Amino acid sequence: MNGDTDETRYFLTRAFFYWNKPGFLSRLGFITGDAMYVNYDEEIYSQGYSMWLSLGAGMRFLDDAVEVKLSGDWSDDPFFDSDIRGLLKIQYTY
Amino acid sequence: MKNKEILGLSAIILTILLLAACAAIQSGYAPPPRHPAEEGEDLRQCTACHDMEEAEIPYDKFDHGLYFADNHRQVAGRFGGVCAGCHRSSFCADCHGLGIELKPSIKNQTENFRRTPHRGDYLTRHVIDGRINPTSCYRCHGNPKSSQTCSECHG
Repeated sequence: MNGDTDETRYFLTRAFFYWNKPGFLSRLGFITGDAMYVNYDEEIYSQGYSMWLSLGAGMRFLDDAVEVKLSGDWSDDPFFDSDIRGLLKIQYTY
Repeated sequence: MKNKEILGLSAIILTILLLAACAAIQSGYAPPPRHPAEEGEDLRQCTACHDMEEAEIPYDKFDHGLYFADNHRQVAGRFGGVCAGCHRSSFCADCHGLGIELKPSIKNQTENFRRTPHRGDYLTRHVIDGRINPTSCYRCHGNPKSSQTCSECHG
């Protein structure tokens, strides 16, 4: 990056899916997947790219008022090497 | 001196006429406070039921397609009553509320269709985006010198 650059200088690719009510796992409410790859024009902390993967699943109860969602992420970027994160979310819509 | 008075008076009259014209353009139509519950209808696609030719509201802009999350700011700001037909203000605050510990992209990790901008390695990309167009950050984070989210790392 130069100070006079007027364009974003990285290349980002992302692919994701959200599968609602998957037939083969009828008890699941949904399955999600997300993948991202970013290539920087210059290395940042000696790394010129980053990768990020995320998988998630959720179930719905009580006429969809309650949702239980579980997701897990893995990332490799200039700040974190093989970082893993998990999140369990319980949501009640009233 | 007289010319100045005439000019001033003309400016006031023109302003009043302009305001009257703008008011006349507004139809005065207000959507109902709650959208009627239509069984089996997909309320996310407004144009599936609402005719665009005689609509007082641009319902096509409210169709919840792939890019709606990216572009909802303008129509939500101008026709907030349409949003309120289905969403309570707490729905908006879930992402736009201040002082929330988790950013929307993490809190709603499984809702990947929302295309929240901070997904993935945004910690790295914010350095680039912030230098090219910092105003895109200000909208939510405010002034970088007083913003709590910025000052935590940047001092």
